[in-house]
Amino acid sequence: MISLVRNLYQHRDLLWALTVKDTQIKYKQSLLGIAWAVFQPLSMMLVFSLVFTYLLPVRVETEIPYPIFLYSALVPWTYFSTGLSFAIPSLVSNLELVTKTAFPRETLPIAAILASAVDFAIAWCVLLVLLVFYGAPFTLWLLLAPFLALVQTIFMIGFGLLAAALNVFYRDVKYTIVLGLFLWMFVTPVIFSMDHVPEALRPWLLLNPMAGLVDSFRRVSALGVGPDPVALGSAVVIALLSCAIGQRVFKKHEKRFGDII
Amino acid sequence: MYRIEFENVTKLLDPHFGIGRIGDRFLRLIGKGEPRHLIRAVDGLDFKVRDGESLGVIGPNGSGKSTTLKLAARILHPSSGTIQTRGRVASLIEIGAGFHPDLTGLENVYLNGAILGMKRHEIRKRLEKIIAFAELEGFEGTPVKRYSLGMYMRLGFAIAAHVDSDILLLDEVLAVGDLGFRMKCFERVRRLKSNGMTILFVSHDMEAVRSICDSAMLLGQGQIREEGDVGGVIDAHLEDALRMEATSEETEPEEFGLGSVKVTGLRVTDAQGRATRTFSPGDALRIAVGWRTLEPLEKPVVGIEIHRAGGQHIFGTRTSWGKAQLATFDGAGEVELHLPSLPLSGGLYTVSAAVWKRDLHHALVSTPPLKGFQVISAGKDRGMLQIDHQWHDLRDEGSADPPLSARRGGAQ
Repeated sequence: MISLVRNLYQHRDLLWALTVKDTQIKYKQSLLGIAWAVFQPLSMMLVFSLVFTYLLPVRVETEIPYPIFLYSALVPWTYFSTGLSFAIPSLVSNLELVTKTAFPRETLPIAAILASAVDFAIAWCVLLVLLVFYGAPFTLWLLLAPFLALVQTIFMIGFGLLAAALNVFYRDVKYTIVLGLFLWMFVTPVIFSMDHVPEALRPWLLLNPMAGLVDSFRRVSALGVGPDPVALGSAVVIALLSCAIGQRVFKKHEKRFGDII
Repeated sequence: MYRIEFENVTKLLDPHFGIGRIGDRFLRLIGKGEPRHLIRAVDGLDFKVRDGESLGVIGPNGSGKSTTLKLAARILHPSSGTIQTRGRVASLIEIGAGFHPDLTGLENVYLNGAILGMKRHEIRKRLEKIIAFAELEGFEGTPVKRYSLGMYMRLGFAIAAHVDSDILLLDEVLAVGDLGFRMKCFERVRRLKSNGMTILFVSHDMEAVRSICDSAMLLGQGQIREEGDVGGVIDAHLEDALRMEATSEETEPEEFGLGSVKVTGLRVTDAQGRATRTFSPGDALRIAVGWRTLEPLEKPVVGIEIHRAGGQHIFGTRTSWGKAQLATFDGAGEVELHLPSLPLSGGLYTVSAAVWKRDLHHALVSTPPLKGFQVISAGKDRGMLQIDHQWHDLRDEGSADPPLSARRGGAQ
């Protein structure tokens, strides 16, 4: 972990350049440009709101409107899913760089994640606007949001490094992840709340750090209450653990990337 | 001080990874299944490059040149053995690798510079120089996908040429752009070299190796076949190539030409008509072109070209340019070119031939280099030609003394 941070700091200019590149190319030659960062979670909010308000009404025991309830969870979730879906194929999609140039490989998936973090930050600003609009209660808990984003980023980096490295060897990883992210959303309290989960299953949900993170994010930003310490605590532990493992696996296989990719 | 040290480096590659039948792939994943056919791309390589030295790496395709360079760049890692590099390394394995087509020239300079290990402030400082070197003023804001190939290559080379490094690794990248830019590239590399940069240079262009490198290394099947002085190593390489050409020639005698006239072969002989492959500067040399026709060819013209092996065009001539007017070709025969005194210095040369019809602009037959010969020079003069010369000490010029030395180039 420490060596990863040191290495990234040492190559911060490269990491910055790659992040800028990933941000730039995402919206090059598009009319709406960076506005897409907002459209994606907003349109998902719209669709889910309509579906779960009119077609399959979800009973949410909170005083906030369901769209806000949804959007406040979709913002971190979208960050998670787009960040990983860019990070995991990042080594393979930059094949030319991996086979023709020398630089620390971990910067590629991490830059992909950081570029998604830019979208995340924009989407989060829109969330603040929506909160004002709906007259949601602002509390000091909101200050915890950047910390939650950091923990989530650490988890994503760990998971992203692991999967990106394996994807170099077998492309099955990429397809598994596309499917996996879809399923993963349904074991994360995005469209439902933690309260919907049967009491017996809740401890299992703690194994999913995204559950704790998304729930905490919704609580501190939209509900104005503190996070569930157990859920958040386990998310932090798992995030750090996954980062350590992901980096270890990445380093172990890094030397063969150029041969195999 | 050594900048690059390879110690017994071997690199195994698995060219069949991840392909084959799905069942085999699963078996292999759990460590069973058929053993892999690994390739020894580099086999027990041992060499050192001193600070400020530039080493040329030559050899046929598949001899491990690029793998060696990628190992030095740490793009690949050795299967066994150790590699040490001291100082900052910049590698240019392929021009424009890492350019993103959607980004503008300027954005790509920042990206590529960072990949090559430059800090942001370093790039900013050199930005103007890079753009100016690439001759891209006014196009910085254009996405590189809209660049011409030449613009693209120039920008790629310009960035790498402005990296502040101790070691520069170049893989066949000087054949860039038009002639003017090519010369600029050479000039740039030579300047970096004279500034003390250590260079590892992989190329098939023997003239480029000659002009840039202090020493050279010939690879074959991942091993060092020859190393040392550039001229010697290049000759060893070309001799190998000629030997291969000679053996393939014996197994299948060939005729060249698709039309009704064929070139049946070339003979390189000395003044007495004896077939030989080695000459000394100043020797007489004869080249005979064999021809055969299926139907008579009126007003035939025969041409011969001599190249320095793997490089420059030395000499070319046609019968129509001299006094010789050839009579109609009918049947088979030979036309011979006599060179009474070879003005060439040591090295390997190749000969090719062509047949035209007078007033017709394209050749009826044009052969690849068919024969090679070697010139062995005992003299110390440098360069490609042995030019007759005399030295005079102008202080003695008043007297009727003979020149200081008079020498007819080459072997005495």
